[in-house]
Amino acid sequence: MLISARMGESESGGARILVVRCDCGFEVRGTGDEVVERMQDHARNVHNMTATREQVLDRATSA
Amino acid sequence: MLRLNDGVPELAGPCGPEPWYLEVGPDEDPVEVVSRLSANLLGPPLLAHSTSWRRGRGGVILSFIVVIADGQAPDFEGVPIGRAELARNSATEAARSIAAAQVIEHGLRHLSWLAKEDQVVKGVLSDEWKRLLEGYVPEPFQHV
Repeated sequence: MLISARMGESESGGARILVVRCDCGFEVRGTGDEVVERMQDHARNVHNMTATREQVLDRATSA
Repeated sequence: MLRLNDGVPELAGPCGPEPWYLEVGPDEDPVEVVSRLSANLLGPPLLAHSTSWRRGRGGVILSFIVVIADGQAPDFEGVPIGRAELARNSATEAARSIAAAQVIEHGLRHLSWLAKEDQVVKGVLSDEWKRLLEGYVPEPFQHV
């Protein structure tokens, strides 16, 4: 996979906040749905690649 | 992604000073992909030309030089480009390791060659670019 997504997560007020970072340095932070949507947009618009939801969420590391 | 800033060449793209990697599908044209994404993100380029290839990231990496106009895409911060020695090995083997700076150096040497040999490239590059490229020894497309 061209984009290596590293994820950290923390919980705030009951909502799980995730962090996803592309190898190029682009980073998104938000709920699972938010980071998936934004990272998929980034993958398509900047790297011409398709990132599945599973690929984006698959690289979680502890915050 | 190159542009001139007060006569100094700089890298300016979505990944800042880092190489900007694009994935090209099996039925896609690399030049079309590079030109399209460049135009979508930074505005239409003056020039998009492949300059070298190498193995990496589980496939073949085709390096491109993309030149944009001076001052184009001001939202993307530029990083000045310095000179570098090329990565070399034997007549039949590629260099064992290649740094991004070496790929860029080779790309600019290739552009220097095009600025002399290719009428289309001559027509789109500014006089300032041509003067800058005089300092680069011309080189054709190469397996690095």
